[in-house]
Amino acid sequence: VPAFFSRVFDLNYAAIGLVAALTGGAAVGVGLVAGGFIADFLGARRASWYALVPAAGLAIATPVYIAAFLQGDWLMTAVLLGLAGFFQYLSFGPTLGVIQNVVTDHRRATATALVYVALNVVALGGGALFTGWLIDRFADLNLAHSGHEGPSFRLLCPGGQALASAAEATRALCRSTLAQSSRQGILVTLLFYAWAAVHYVLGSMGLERQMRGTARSEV
Amino acid sequence: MTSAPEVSRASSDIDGQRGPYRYAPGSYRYGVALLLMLAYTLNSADRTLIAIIGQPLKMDLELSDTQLGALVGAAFAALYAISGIPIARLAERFNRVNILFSVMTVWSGLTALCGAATGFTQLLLLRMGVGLGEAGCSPAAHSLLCDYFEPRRRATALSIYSCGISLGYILSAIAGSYVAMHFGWRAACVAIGAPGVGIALLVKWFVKEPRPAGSAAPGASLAQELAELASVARTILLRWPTGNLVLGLTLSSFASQGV
Repeated sequence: VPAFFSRVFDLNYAAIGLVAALTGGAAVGVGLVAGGFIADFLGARRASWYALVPAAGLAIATPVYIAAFLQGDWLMTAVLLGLAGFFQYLSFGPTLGVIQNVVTDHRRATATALVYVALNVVALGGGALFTGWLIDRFADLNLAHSGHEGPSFRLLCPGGQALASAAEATRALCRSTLAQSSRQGILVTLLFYAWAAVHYVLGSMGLERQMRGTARSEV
Repeated sequence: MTSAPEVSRASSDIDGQRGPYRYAPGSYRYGVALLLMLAYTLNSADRTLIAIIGQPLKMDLELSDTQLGALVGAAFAALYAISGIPIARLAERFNRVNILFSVMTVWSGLTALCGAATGFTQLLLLRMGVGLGEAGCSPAAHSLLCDYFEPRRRATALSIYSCGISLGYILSAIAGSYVAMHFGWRAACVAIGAPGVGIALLVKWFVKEPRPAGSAAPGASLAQELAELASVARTILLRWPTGNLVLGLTLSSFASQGV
């Protein structure tokens, strides 16, 4: 996100850090606590809410994220990002709660470690790589599409910027291509939220039975 | 380590031999949740600090982008992945408060020590140590909180704890970058790392291990440990409801890391 702000809106890094930290961080924190609370409240009646609250949060977050990245105004982008972060993180607490509620006492730490290791390796390792790769592909595609003939984006604009000696037109081309490609790469990645929502809906089926099964074996 | 220990633990529950803190209502357990949230705040702050101070660090120590990437991501993630499950297994058997105290001291102390690093190799080793310590935090904390909070309040308790992720990010982005800007990246390491040692002592003093003596998981051979791990993996990943939930969580985290 900070890279996105600087590429598309030309904000300086200090301002970006502050904007990203405040909107992202605060909204995510509120969303986290709200998600756990809402799910416990509704889940007391029907356990499937532990999956449906996250599903709803992610389903709402997807279009809000997309709207945020299509905005032309950086303040509006920041506000929408905060809102989307809130909805996205409604899913976190309920998921952790369910994981703890389907294992017995002596397996709780192990269960969390297993999920967190998977998350770290798959998501934290792969997520940034995937989007970066996607942005590079879009950059080449956009460059070819703009009628430019010759070297690939990486050669024309090493590190995302044209060489200092390059013509003004080339520098502008690098800038606009990078901004456009960042948007496109991010938009595709955002569809993963919708995909995640689908799995939460699927997971709600039979959730009550699995949780009840564990509770019975425990008492 | 299949179902036998669970049965004996369950029967002791029926006999009323729960730990004195188990599911105890009242404000103490929320104090525990908030204190562990603070611990997790520092966990998240220490983790993200290196990205915040990346630019001055890169210039000062003349690091390449690849080296910086290794410090921010790979070194940390590798150790996190390796040590998470073994420390969690220890948390099933031994006093979780002591484990939390130890891992907090390790990751906080090593983050502060990053401020004294003179080159890439030193920083790399320190960051690996930070990852090793940090991996031990959430498994022990989740397990502990679930002894304080009954099943229908666990999502709330775990979400209060997890709030530390965003608080830590805010802390390192604001305090970390402020200190780095005015006093340099070395001071930022100390400012974000050192308070963790104090919080570790506070955790040790305030939080009571709710698990009654003698009810921890028994020791086991390596083969038994692996069998137990496989069994947990089957319960969580191969059952339809929770398998889908974990997949959903992974996909959404994947997307947020990319964006």
